[in-house]
Amino acid sequence: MISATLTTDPIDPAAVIGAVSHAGNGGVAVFIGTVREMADGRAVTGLDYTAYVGMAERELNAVAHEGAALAAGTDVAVVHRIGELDIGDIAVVVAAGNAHRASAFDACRYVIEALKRRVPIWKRERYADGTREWVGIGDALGVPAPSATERADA
Amino acid sequence: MSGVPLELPVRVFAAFAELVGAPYTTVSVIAPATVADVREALAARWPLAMARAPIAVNLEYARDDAAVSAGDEIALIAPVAGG
Repeated sequence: MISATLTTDPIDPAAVIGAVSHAGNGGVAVFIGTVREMADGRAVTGLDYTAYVGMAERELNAVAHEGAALAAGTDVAVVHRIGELDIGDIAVVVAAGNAHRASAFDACRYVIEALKRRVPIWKRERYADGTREWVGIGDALGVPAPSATERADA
Repeated sequence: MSGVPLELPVRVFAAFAELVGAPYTTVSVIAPATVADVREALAARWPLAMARAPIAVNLEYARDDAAVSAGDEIALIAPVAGG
């Protein structure tokens, strides 16, 4: 069983775990990613997740299949939430099941790492002072391309 | 068709959409065009981080030598931050 889902609803980890649990899977590894209260020493009040939905679903599905293919008989379920999340809310759950724990851990780790590298999902941090900032961009957008002249308005 | 100017919409997201001020920007290229041509057109107008970002064609990451034509869904993938 392999499933990959984007949702705007709260994630129920038990349902994700249940999707990869059966009598043949002696091991189920689970990763739960939640919204934490600090980022680089700055108090965060929440995260806004957005996605390129069509591509994110496709890429998430590809990542789940790659993780499952690491070892025969591996089940993978991954759910990522988008929308406005608060501190403690679950943003992502990855569950991987296999007859043996090593393969379950490997698949779970693969899926979360590949998701973070490839799946077109973005998050913006909300701060206590009311400001918001996209994660992972830093000051890069302030650097003009060498060939850039005066930027035209969009 | 060769030598025909093409106006291609490029979808942008997150920080890039904020900078552009819209969910897409438009690039002018000459057919037959590649992802590299789209990148060059982006570099003429937008910051380096945008011109260097991965480009997806029809929902898949595309190499710079991949062909693009009218009707393709082209998207600029800002540095991702899922999880």
